[in-house]
Amino acid sequence: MFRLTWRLQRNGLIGMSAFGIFYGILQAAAYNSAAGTTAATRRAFGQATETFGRQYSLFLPLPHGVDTIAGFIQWRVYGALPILFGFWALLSAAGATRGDEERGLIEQWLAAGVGRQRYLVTRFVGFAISAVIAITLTSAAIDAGAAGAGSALPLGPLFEVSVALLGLTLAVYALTTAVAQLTVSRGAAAGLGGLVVGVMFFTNGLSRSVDSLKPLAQAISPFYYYDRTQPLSPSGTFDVAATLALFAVAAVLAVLALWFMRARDIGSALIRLPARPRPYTDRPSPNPLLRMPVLASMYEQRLGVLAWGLGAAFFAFYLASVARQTADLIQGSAGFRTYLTMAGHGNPYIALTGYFWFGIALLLLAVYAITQVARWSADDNEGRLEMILSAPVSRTRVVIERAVALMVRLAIIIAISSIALDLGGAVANIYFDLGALTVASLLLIPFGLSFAAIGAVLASRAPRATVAVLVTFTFLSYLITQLGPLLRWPDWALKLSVFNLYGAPLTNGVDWTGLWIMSAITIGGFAVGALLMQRRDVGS
Amino acid sequence: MTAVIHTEGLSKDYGRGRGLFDLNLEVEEGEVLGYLGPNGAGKTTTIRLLMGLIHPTAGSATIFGLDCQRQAVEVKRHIGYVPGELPQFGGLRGSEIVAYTAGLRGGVDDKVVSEICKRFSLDLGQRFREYSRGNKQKLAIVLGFMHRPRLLILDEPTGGLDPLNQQEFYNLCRETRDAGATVFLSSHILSEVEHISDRVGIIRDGRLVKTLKLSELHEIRVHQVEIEFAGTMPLDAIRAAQGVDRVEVNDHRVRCVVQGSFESLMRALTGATVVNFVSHEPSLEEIFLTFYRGAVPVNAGETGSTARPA
Repeated sequence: MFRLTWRLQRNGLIGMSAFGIFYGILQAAAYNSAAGTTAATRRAFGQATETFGRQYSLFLPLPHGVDTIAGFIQWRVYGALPILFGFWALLSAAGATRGDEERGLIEQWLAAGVGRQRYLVTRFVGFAISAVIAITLTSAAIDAGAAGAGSALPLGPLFEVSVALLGLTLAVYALTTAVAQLTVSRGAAAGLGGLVVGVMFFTNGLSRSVDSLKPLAQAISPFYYYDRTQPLSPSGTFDVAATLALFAVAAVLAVLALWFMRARDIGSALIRLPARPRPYTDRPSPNPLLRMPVLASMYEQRLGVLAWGLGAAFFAFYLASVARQTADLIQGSAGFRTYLTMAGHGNPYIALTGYFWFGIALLLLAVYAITQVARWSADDNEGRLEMILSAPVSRTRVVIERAVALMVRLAIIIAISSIALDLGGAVANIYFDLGALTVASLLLIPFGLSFAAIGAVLASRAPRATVAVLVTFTFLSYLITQLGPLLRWPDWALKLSVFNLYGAPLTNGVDWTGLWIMSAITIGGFAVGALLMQRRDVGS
Repeated sequence: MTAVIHTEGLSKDYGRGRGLFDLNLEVEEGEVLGYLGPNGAGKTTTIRLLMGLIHPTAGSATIFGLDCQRQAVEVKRHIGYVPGELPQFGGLRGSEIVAYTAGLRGGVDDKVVSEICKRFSLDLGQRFREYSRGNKQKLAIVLGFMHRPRLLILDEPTGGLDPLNQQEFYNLCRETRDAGATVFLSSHILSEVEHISDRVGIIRDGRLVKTLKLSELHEIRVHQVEIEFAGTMPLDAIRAAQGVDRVEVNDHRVRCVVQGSFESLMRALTGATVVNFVSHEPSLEEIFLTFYRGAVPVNAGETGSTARPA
């Protein structure tokens, strides 16, 4: 059973390790470009970053000693890695519990004489081993990157922070495994797990700047205990008790998950709410949306679109509301002026708000496009495409309908978040030109569609490999955007990233070249996708 | 009569001898054709080729004179399809799935949906993930029949249905045929095909071995029979009975294999006191072995003698 579990875990391990290695090497290597090589420039960079970092304490720990590469890595890299590893743990746990159950694997194992305890312990150990490998490789890559930048990291503290990261990752995994027992599907497990982990994450994030929240964060958030350990910072320490607490929390939650799983029926949630009495019906749903092209798919995904819209709106509002202080800091610091240059000309508050928000929006929409492409692949693998094509529906129509439905969903998410951005800006006394904001928002649609178009080609050609290939492509594209300027890569290399095609429309106007390229990718991608779809055998 | 389904040299080669090879088949209007074969014989491949879901490596297929590949959309206006593997619709309710599919297809009368649901006692108010396997299969049947298609392509449609609902399904097929529709039914269960088919195509290892009329199908029917007697056993009469082979005696029990009709065996039993009479239908693969290789179907661990080919 362990071998099978390992196989199921393998793709996640490879993906996460590759991600961690690239991220680690490049972040460490970028330090010299950002901070300079003299003590004076690094001191100035450190002071500016510490002030700057306070604006983003909701997401990252407060920076300390970032005038050293070790301090910078502690803040920028080991501050962000919990988000990435936590996300991986969340999806893995949801998949290992509810995903396996949906596919009937758990039933098979239990029928084969594997006990629930053995099943959960095997999955937990399998994930723990994967996490150890991924974190070790990531830390080794970070050290290699730092050594390449001229300052190898001290191995002891590097090991200590890695242990703390492992504890946090396992705690999130165990938490999601326990929460998943309360749900009936993989999606619901990931959603509810994400909500619980999100509340813990942001409670801790807020407690960094709001002291009164510290007791609450201490009581409910494993991220609080992870923050206690900052051994790479010059004045930082390894909090043994806090790290042990993370492992203890992981163990307790794993036991709780086992208890829940023993108490519930396979295929059911632990707590079954009494079903609302629903009269027998033998009539099709009267909902007219279900019978209309595009709108049927909109209706099916209504909750998802709403969740994405509200999530994006939260980010947009937060970033806009702290934009004034952030812009003031950047303008006052030589080390960060490069951001001002990249943000575009005009009002620096508007330019920087646009730069930061639309930078995040691009990433969010790329991820959203990937989730949609994953659904297209799943349609094929799970037989829905076969069912659709058994009706008088052409394959071309399927591709076009997917594109149009995605365009409408993107428009809704973008509209909600842009309204939130405008409101958040007003809170910070930053008032956007509505025309420019509308244009900048609308341009996000071809951006999202261009990612989906690449996915449409992949989904039409090789649906089973689509998501992995598209995620890799997106990751590399984003890395070019984020690290290319810091590493002073040439312009042609930067333009290889789809993210750079968007430009800075809020301040610099429409980048027509980028728009044409995105449009060409979108039209070409969906056209090629439709063509390949014609030639392909469904379900293969 | 005109051919509703017509294939010429239709082939799909998956390599290593797997797939469908050189299928020449005609199904006439108003006919129910049972497409019989063991698992992996190529039944689903045939159906997926007819539905235009996969592309042939050679040959062609037409339905109502329309090319199944080039005119796939037009072809499907006339087809009702029940797939072998049910799609996953997650949290959607049955009523929503029906409405969605009806929207894709058009021309669906809600009354027909309601009528079929009533026949199978299917509650469309439940979520798909809450349906039992049998109820999912019923939903697939509703989706296949709800638009009153001229041709039904059914891929092992009774999987998961209980015997009562199987009977209801056979009735539905007969009524649909009587209303003028054509039915192409794949199955690996001989008795199921016997229930409703006018003609049977037998497929094995990707090749159509034979097409038979229903009356000819009895020729290949094989049963394992166990008879328990209270008194004297008419062994000589049993051994001499037509279609009876491999007679084994154990205490007061006789085991034998009967191919074709039971009539001769029943005559041999006249006058004997039969306490128990049990007849099993062997698996299709065992029947095929009997029919094509001359080996009598036997239970695991037993060795067989020869049986007469039809």
